[in-house]
Amino acid sequence: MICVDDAGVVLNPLLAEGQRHGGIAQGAAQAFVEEFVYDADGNPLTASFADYPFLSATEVPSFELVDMVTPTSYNPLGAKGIGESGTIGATPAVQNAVVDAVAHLGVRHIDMPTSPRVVWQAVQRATSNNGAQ
Amino acid sequence: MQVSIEVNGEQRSDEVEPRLLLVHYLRDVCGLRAANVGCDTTSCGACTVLLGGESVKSCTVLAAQADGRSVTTTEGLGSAGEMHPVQRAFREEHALQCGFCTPGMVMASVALLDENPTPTESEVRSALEGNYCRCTGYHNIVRAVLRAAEAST
Repeated sequence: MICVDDAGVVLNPLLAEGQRHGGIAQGAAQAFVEEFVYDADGNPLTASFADYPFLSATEVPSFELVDMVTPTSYNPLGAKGIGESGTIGATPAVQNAVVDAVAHLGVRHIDMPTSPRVVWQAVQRATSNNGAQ
Repeated sequence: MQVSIEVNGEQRSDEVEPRLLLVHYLRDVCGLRAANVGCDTTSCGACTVLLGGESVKSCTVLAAQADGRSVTTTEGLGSAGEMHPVQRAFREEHALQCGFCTPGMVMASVALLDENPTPTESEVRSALEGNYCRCTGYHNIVRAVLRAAEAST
């Protein structure tokens, strides 16, 4: 996974890198697993870490970070934001990769998060539509 | 009930309630606050310590189960002057962000390297599967564990 961010002037590269690592992973997690689920009566079904999945070290790959520094003229530091900015690009990147992986079966859309059940249902819908045509 | 536990090399004997969890024993009775209570459901691993040299999540172990055994927390690994190789590697690789998961990550890593001194990246990731980092900063954590392994061989 390659991530390019432009935060303008970076004061603390260590912390800025960490924000990017976490942002990419959390963005990927949103496309893969993260979701608040409620039952029909409004009871939360994802109320603890035992039920609410997020990514561990096993699922998160290592990253390659590419730096760009374009200082902003809107503040004296020339700094922009870096807080979890990786989330913005990572979610569509991973979501599109999953759709692309099953596109040859006729799938054009999958709802987030792309749990095995959701992907399987999307594949079933696409392949049964093809069968009807 | 009375429990005798060797905590970070020091033999202790304490009167505890039978229902007392090991993590609460460590934090409230021994005053060792490195092991954090994150989820209370054995999901997050922030409370990981070594029990008889093996990593356990101390929020689902009773203090009574540690009776007659030895417990190591992050406080028992090294000192500010002389850090444990895993602690040093975590510092060198900046393997933390907010730091809440760090004591658990360090203890799980120490247990891994005791068992497997030369793990592959995938073995490191697999060994840390039970330890969550909500900052999701696994990248540097994995690098730190690999660095600690390299430094010790």
